[in-house]
Amino acid sequence: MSDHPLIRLAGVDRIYTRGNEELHVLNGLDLDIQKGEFVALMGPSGCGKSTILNLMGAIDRPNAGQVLFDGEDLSEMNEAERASWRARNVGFIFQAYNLMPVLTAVQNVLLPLQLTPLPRAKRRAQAELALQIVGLSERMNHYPNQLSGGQEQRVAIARAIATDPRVLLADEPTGDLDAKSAAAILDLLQELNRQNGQTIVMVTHDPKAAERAHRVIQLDKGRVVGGHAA
Amino acid sequence: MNIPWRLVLAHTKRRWLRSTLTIVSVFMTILIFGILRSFIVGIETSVAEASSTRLVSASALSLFAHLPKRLEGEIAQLPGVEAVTHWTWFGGVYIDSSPDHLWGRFGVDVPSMRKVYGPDLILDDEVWKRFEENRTSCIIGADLAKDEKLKLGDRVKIVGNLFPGTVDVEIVGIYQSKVRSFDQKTMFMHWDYMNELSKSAGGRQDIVSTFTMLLKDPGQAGGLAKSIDTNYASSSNRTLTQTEKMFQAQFASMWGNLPLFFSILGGIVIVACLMVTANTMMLNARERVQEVGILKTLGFTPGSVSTMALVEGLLLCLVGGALAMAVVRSFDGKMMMFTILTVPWRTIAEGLAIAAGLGLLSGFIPALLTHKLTILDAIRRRA
Repeated sequence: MSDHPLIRLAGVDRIYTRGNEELHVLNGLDLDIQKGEFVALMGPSGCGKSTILNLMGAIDRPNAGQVLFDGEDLSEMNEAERASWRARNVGFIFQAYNLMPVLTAVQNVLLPLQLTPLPRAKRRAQAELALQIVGLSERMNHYPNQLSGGQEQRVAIARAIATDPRVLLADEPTGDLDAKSAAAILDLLQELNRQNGQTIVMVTHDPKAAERAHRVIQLDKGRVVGGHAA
Repeated sequence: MNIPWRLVLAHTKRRWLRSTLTIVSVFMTILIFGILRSFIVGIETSVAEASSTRLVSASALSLFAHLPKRLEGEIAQLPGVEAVTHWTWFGGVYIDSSPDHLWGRFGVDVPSMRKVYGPDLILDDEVWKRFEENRTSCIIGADLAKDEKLKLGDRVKIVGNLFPGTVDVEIVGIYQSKVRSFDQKTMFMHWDYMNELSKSAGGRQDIVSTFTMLLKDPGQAGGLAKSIDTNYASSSNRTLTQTEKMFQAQFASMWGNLPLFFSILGGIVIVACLMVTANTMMLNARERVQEVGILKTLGFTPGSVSTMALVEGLLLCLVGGALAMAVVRSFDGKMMMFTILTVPWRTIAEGLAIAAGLGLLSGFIPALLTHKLTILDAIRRRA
């Protein structure tokens, strides 16, 4: 692992406003993620875990501080630049899978590939390879409502890795799954990290899931309150 | 700009009933617009293509009043008149009184009609000769033959109402017109025959609806028209003489300001349709808030995601509009309310432009909302 952080959050504040009330979710947070790391973010609800993921993925902006990705300040990009940056660098995995119900598995995986300069045939091959990696080659023409929860999450992972992103951001990826499916998804994430050196940042409430990571970061009230190697 | 076309098509396919209803509502709107517009263009075209080398004299009282036949000889003597012919509207009932069987039927003087109107028609010399020689014969337009399934040798019986008696004539010719101002849904028979029938049944006789003069020099039209009207100004047969072009315009004006009325009607239908399609697009956008969030998260720009909302409305409306204009195009040349429906490519383009406008306008607000929607709000399903 390199000493140079892939992602650095430096003195980050994030404040949400609801009506007249200000909600301080992150308070001067400092956090580094190294390239090739598998990091689990844990903590009670509302501690800012998902907010950190949103900031790392450039779908939210800090009120103060910097979010640096390989030295580049994400806060300084406009919306179109951030969209383009996300397409190139980040794969998202959501708790609720967030697949397009009107598209088949392979069509869902093809969506982010449409944003790459790859030719059509290559995109198709890449999507099929991603589905093969997650073990769903046989179900690539199924719609999400024809798949189990675990299979849907596998498709979501295939979509996230199809463009070969530099970091995978997973928000409670096993939160909606039964124990067996959850274990299989965690096996898959672990394998991606081990075999491909894929950097993964995962938010979880589940200590068993966190055990799969290299490092567990404990958060509370918008601050890092502890961390250890898993 | 990267637009997820497959997703646009998948949405349209998935919500097939909603998509179909939207297409049908646009189809109906553009169909109504197309038919109304074709009627207006038909009136304008018949006026524009009418001859300015012919003068038409009718009663100054109204188009429905008659003039005595004897004026023909007097008019023919006027300097500058090459030839004179006359038409008389017979009216009557063919089969029944339904609008399907209501078409023009006139009594004419065949030799003079051929001289004055012959160049406008496609009809063999042999047919003209047969028509001229057989007093109980008629010629009909090609459209009339098609619509009433009539052919050469068939007999046509028309029960008179303006004139008593039943005419019974044989079809000896089917003409085609070289100009739009001469419609192909009319029957011409011998005036002598219908006049004699009326006379023997005690009805009106020796009267005509209009006289048409072929001029030696079109430049003399104004002077000659004035001269004819002055001649009969103080008689019981006051005339109104004008060029055929002006006569067509006067005929068209019988509808009152129908073009304006039709334009307003068309406008109202289009606005009503806009409300329906806009509502559908808003509904679509509301249902897809979370999808917008996902697309933006994956890296689609706000511009491409909002364009997707615009494109969907545009596609549905263009499909409806194209289908409607295909149907409208098939009406080209058909008669409606004594007017030949005329569907030039300009009208097709107007119909498609309105359909595209409906699509863009109805998708505008959803596109704007989609553009502004942040990823976090979208993922949390807060529109």
